[in-house]
Amino acid sequence: MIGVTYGVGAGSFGDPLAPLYMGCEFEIEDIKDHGAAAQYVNIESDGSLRNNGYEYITKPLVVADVLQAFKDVHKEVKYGENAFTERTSIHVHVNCCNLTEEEVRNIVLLYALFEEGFFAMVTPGRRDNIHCVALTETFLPGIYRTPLRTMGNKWHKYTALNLKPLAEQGTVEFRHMHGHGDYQLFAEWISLLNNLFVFGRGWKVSADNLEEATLEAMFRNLFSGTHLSSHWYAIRGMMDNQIIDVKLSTL
Amino acid sequence: MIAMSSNWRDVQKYYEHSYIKIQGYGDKLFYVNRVRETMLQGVDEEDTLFELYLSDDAPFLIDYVLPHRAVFQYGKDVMQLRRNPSRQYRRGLHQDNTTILSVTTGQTYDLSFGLLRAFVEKQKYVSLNEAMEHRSIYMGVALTPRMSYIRAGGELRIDLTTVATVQSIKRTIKVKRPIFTKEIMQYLKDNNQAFEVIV
Repeated sequence: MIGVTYGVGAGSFGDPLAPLYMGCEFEIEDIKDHGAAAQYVNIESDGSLRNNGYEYITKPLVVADVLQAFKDVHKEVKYGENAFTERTSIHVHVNCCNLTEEEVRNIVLLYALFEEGFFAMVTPGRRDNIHCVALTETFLPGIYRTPLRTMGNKWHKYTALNLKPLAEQGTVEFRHMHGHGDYQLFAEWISLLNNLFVFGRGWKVSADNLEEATLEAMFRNLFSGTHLSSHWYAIRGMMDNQIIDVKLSTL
Repeated sequence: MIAMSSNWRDVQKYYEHSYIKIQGYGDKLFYVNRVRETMLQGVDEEDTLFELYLSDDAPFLIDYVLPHRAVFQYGKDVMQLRRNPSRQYRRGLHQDNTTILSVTTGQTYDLSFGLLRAFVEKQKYVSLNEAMEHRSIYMGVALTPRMSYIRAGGELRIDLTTVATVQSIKRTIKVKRPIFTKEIMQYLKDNNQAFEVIV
């Protein structure tokens, strides 16, 4: 288990039967008043934010509570018209302490296959943002075939899927999502991440199951709770590079 | 990004010592040497020094989207450009956020106008027949954004990995990595090329 391997994630986080835990960072600028948000989250200043910007950080929560935390923060915090600039984003850490290294590696490969779909969930500018670089644009696909620990050592924080926190807190971080207050979009994002972990544990990414029909079926599983669920052909049209990346990892 | 006097520190932080485009100048590249409150100084592709005044009354648009990973033809060699996700703030092209390396040798190169010009120009990916015709001249030829032909050994590579070898006289392609047969067949079909593919 990741928790044992890295010596992190004591207690229920390392329990193989534990539900999926997530922790979120909501970045918001133009803050007028925190209200009672501190009851629900930690409030921290962040050097990358301006105009009275703050980061609202949840503790590790199960999916239903993550969604409630989003509602609570946006109900309590009063912000101005310029709250969600291009500097703001929403980062989601997902607990991996109770997963094996092979399961996490498989989740990374499954994510890599559908990376364009993940970016299609967020504003287009995020695809070229220097703080959440798509894996396929980097050298990282060249190390997909290496053991997870090697991947983690060579990884970079400013990637859309950041593996660096694995060694520090037993999580992986999804950095794609732009800053916003749209509950529906956030709920879809959390649903997608949840599906990634459910199917990533049960469906082995290998050279034998990269056929078109299999990819389409997996897309429908992953994106079933999102507004992209009926857009398979559009997403597939953007996936050639990622399929090659994952094929290279199987050599 | 709009560049003007009131945000000169942002312009400096994001673009100093990097390659940029400026809206209104087409695909022409500029290198930014220095940004001050009233001026952006740099050099263009012809090695001509230039100064652009930063003024709130006459803002201009710095226009550069970081490029996507791809292989491209550069003289007699084929290069790969890819992004580095390391911590930095630059939004223009810079050694810290971009790597260019030779697909044939793996050697990395410093960014230069010549390399970047070859990358940003519309790439003419060629057919395997054309690559064969010119193989005495070229070390490598870019066939698609991911595939190239390497003269030494007659190799077909995807990125830096050899996936097949080409025998030009027999007009055969012997696939070493069968998982990429589909990509090879698709390339031949797209370019109307008649090679026997042996898996």
